[in-house]
Amino acid sequence: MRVTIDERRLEARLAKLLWFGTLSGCVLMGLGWLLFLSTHTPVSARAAYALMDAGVLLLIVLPIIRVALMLSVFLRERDVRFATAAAAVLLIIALSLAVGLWTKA
Amino acid sequence: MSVELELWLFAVAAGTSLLGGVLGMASGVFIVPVLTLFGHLDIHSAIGASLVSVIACSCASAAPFLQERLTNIRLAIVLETATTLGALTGVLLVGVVPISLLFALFGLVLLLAAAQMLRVRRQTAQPSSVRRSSWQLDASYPDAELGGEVAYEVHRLPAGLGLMYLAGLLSALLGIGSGVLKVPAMDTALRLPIKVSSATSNFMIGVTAAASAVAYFVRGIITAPIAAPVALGSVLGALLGARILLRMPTARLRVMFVAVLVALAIEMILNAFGVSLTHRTT
Repeated sequence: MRVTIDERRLEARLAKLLWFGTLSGCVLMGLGWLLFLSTHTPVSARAAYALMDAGVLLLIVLPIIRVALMLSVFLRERDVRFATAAAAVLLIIALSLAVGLWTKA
Repeated sequence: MSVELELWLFAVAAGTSLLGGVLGMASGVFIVPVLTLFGHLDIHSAIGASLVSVIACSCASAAPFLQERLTNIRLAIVLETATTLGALTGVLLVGVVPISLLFALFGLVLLLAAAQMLRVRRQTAQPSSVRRSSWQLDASYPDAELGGEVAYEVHRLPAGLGLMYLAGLLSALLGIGSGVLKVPAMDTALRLPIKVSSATSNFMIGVTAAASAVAYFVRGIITAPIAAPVALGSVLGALLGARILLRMPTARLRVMFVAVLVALAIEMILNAFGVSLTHRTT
């Protein structure tokens, strides 16, 4: 068991990242959605889609950034086991992205 | 996409998420059935939208758990190798699995969720005879009710990893958080304290869903005008639900929830066989 000061700091950083990341993603999506509901021109419709897509993309990337942050902390602590686990998670997500691109219609 | 449909998506997501929050249950399992059965949306767009909302809810509620030191982040990253691998398998299968099978599978998951709601979640005793893994995953958490730090051990990691792989697979195929499989994995296989189990499982849901969502996103299956209102509604409902925590008799609410789950399960399974009571117009 090891609840060190560093561990506490990592937890605090993760909490802040996830909270502000979700907030930003939701604000982007919300602005885009309101614009989408009130829009009547093709130009503003395109802007609405861009904002909503940016929000969705930020939300999807957020947990991946979280894993990357954990990887960097484990690497700095020279904690090989947990760094390997974090790297494996990132690799699997990259493979999933590759499959998505490969099977794109 | 009409304004009425947009507002309906937002309201449905907020409503189910609020109710789920009050009962302490993830409501992600409702989104796809409601969107397909009543909104008559294509199941793949519904799954894509649901995945985004599952990620948003997981990330939005992670902060307080982390600050209270309930989340075991080391255990989470180890288990996430299994959930993301399951999600990758799901991404590979999703084009191959026929839509009727998706409906049937969803029906089964809803029935499982209903059965789980009826059972009271009990703390499994921590036997000291079980061989401890050498992974240094054991930890402690502060418990206000018991007073002070409570130390716990992580048991049967391989069994936990196996269940987590299945949870990831279901998450990718059906667009859910897979609490149905994560709860038994955490409570029964790993034998974690309930608070640690809830916090850690919530923490993992975001990455698990993201692993399949990246593939859905680049395939163009995630439609912004569907995903945005559903995710916004879910997050709002979840945050409100956690704050309100009504002092209402949850026993009756629980029975009602179980009834709805069973009704949706039956309808999903009927749909799998081409029978529909909520007559599809398309």
